[in-house]
Amino acid sequence: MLRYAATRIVFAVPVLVGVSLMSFAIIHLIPGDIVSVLAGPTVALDSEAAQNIRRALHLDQPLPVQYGIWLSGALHGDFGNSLVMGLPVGPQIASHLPVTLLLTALSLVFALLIGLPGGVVAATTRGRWPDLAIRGVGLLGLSTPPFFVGVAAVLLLSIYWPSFKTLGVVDLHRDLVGSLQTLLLPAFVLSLAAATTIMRYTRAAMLEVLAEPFMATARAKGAGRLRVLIRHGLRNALLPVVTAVGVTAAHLVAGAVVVEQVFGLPGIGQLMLNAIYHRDYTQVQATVLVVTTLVVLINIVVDLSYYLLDPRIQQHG
Amino acid sequence: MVDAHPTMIEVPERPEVQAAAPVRFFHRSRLRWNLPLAIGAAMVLLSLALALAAPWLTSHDPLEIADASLSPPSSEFLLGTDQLGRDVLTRILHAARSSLAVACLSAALAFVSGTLIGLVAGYSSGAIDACLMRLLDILQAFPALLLAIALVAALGPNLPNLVLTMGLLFMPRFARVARASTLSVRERDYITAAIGLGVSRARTMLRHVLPNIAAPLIVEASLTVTIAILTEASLSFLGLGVQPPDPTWGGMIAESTSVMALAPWLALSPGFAMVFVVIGFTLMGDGLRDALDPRG
Repeated sequence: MLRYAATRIVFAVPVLVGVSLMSFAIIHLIPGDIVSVLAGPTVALDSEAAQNIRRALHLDQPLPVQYGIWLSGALHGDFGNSLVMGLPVGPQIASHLPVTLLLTALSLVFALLIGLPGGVVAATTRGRWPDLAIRGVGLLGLSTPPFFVGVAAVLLLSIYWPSFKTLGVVDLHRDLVGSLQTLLLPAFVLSLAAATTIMRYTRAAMLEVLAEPFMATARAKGAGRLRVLIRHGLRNALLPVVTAVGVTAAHLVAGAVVVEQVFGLPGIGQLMLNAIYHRDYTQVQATVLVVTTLVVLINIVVDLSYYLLDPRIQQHG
Repeated sequence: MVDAHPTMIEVPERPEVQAAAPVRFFHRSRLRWNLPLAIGAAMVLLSLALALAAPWLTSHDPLEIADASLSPPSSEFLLGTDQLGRDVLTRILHAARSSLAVACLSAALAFVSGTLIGLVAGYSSGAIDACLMRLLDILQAFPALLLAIALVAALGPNLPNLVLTMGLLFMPRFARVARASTLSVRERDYITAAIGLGVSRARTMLRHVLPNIAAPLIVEASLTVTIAILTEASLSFLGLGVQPPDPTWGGMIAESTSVMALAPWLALSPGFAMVFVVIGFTLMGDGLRDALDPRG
């Protein structure tokens, strides 16, 4: 197990280095001189003020040195100061991250609650109406971006169920239960595409498992239909489903950025978009780095969970 | 994969057949039409036709401001007007133009660059392959939408930058499919024959490998367009797409949220238009996969 985990983590290092390089590069992609963007057109590029900005951002250093300074800071949790607020970026991210994580986790739960049973039912009724209905709804789920589902949900609920609180304050420290209630609708909205992906993977995996001889054996031995489906069928179909969870995790995190905007949630997406609207590029850089690192880590965890779920990998690895 | 066909080796030797080579996959005997493919293709064609004909379909201009803001659907404004009094139907049709242009162009860019990279990586293998694939790993580690937001924000939101950014983001999808297919096609007898006949490396790749890995790439292209449309819509919803006053579906939905209670039609109609187009491309992609899959 340790060796497998170690290899997997070592493989992630070059990816993480690349990710940090690209996040670092974002600030240098801005057309023109970043200083004139930050200081405004009235400040001359060689003036005292411009020089100060340049020094503060280490822009007077060569690029590799800039990257080194930025990365070593980032590894210590110091992502530099916000260009707009002047405050350190790190604590800002730390205070916004829990909302996004909670939203993502909740919607993953929803996605599994919808996708797993949906996939099993679709597989067992292959070609008949429940299968067709589930796949039809799934097609709709994949084809509708979460922000539109969110807007439509708020709209329809406000007309047909006016007492339902669609928007609310989220403050995890003061009111955890209330925050969770507020997060339920956004999480559901965000989960639909992921639920479809999980449903499709589950259906495909179940179809394969259903054809296996051990399913007939289990039935012949007198095990109940549901027991055969769950204990013998779903358990063996679970591995591709774990892959689906890994695939959807990245989508969920990115989708959360947009859904937070629809529902006005104080998560990492709101932080990033506000930073973009205010041209606060150190903030954007840090947010991209943190979120992407998180996604890479999630994928490592998913890979490691194969190991726990499938004894066959343990023998080889 | 398409099976090695005896005539396949002769193809490059005959110019008149060569010109028709890309069409081979849509030859009646190869493409088995199915219901999702037919419905999807019809929806896609309808969307494309409506988008192309947009300027002649309505009597309004997408930027024209009528003296009737937020008027509900009527015979003059079939889908009503927005808060500035602009005709919603006209704006939806014109938004389809920019959305489909961004989606198709970025998918095309990703298709060409990704296929080339995958072809080279799969055909040369070894160090070049390993290097290219690690670079793609890095690109794919990013949640696509997040990187799109950051890149477009840095480069500036306009049509060429959207196409470039999204093309870059979708490129690894094609590279992976192309590489995997190339690896299996490379071992075929007709490739060995081509090499034996002294056909150059580039020519072998483009004339002998490429036509035989086209099927999965075409399927991937159709599905990539759907993701591109959804990404473009999300970006323009966040104000990072084609800039106002030019209409976009995402932008129209974003604008509508402030007057949602007064004018629900504003939020729903652009969304339905977008979902229609996306479903069309998804069905077409799924249908193509079934139609081109030799195992089916």
